[in-house]
Amino acid sequence: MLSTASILIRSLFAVALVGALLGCSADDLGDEKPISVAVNAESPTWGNGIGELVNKKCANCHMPVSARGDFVPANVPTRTIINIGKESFFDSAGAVQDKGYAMLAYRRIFQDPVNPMPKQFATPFVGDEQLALKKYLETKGFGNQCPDGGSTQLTYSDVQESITSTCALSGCHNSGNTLRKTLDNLDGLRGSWHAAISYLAAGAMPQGTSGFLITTKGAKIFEWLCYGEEFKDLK
Amino acid sequence: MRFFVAAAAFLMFHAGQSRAEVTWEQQAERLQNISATLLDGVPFAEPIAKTRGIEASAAVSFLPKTNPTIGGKSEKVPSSPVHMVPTFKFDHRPSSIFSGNVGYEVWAGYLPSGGEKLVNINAKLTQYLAGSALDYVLALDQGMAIHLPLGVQVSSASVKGAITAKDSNDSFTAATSLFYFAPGIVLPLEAMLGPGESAWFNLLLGSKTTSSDFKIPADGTEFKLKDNRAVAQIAAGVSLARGFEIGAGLLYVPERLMMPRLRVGYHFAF
Repeated sequence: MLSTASILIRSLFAVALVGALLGCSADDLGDEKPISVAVNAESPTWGNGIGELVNKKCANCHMPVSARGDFVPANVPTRTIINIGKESFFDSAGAVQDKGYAMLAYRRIFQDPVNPMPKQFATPFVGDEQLALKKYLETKGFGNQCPDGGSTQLTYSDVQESITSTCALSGCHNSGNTLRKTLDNLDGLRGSWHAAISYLAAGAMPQGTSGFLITTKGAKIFEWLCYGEEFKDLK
Repeated sequence: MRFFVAAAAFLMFHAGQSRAEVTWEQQAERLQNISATLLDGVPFAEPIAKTRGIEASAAVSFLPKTNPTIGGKSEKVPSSPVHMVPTFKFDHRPSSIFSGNVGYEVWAGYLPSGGEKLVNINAKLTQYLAGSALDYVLALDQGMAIHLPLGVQVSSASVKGAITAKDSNDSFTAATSLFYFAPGIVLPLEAMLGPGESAWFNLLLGSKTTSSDFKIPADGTEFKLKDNRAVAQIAAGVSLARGFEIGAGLLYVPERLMMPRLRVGYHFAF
């Protein structure tokens, strides 16, 4: 007959063993899904979901450095963070720089298969969120800046001089200026392709000019940027 | 007995719960905190020996599979499937107070760089820990005894190497301080095994603070986190007459992990 101590010992070991076996599981936060925002994909507005969506899935990274906590993604360009969490940022009658950023946001989210937003580590869009945001930006006039079906015979050599004299002036986007994106060579233009189209379309670049796109030089550069063979692999 | 079973059931139930929708920040924070918790090295708090001595031991933790998702991406977790820090301990029971004995123990553990194989990442882990405990031992009838140890342990772990990308030079450090109370009971095994042999069972309840720091130089990023958590561990073991110690336990850190652990030691009395 087993003693009380023996029964107790065996029971305790049984509890420990069962616990140990059941303990071989994943951590308990393994099944969560990306946070979702209720949006209206038919008629999206800032108030019915877009504002919350932009703040939760864009502005939480694209916020001023001073407002960030310990957990921040790296290399968020400061120029894309200004006011993105506010409705005024997406006001088509607002500042031309913000219009350029909003157009760039559209391109990076919907037209950039190479390096799309949100980034891989960021909270992904789910459900109708992307559809609603696309419609919202298009309604605001920030949609596709290069109409579908267009084409061009222009090549880099046809526009090189125009770009250099307009964008890559000394002190601006030339190779000697380490503070600005380089636009005096094809690699630099390819690296800033989405931004170049967006800022030109918004009238944010060249700085201090207006109506550049309706000039012969501006129209030629824009046409080449939109449809040039040199950018086919970026689409 | 019922209490211990209920405690075990409670821990298992809560470990299986899932969470609601999360942002990438919450996932990244979770992963960093879990990575730090995997390197805690919580002691077994086995009862202090009757005789003064030095003990060499190693606690093996069977690390749980961790969900590595951050946003839409899978990150690397600086951990291994089995983890162990070799530890030396000195213990002594010098004095009697009321109807019991008071003993103390101090220990230190060190895992040198390269002594650990990490999974999926090319990095080196260095880890050390140190602790001490005061144990009040109350003798009962038939050779049984109740142990009431109060202890503290500090530990530090550092992982350096290619964690986030193949050629990166990242570093992850985690420093933990733990205060615990681990009431337990010792039962003689003389009738079952032989003279001088005993079994023990305890429930460790503690509070720990972990500070972790994850640096990704390539991105110019540093993530610092401080994590305060309760800790619970149920453990049982046997002390054999020749000095060998064997134990098993289940560690639970709420919202972080639950994992089984084994401990093997040899107590050299002098």
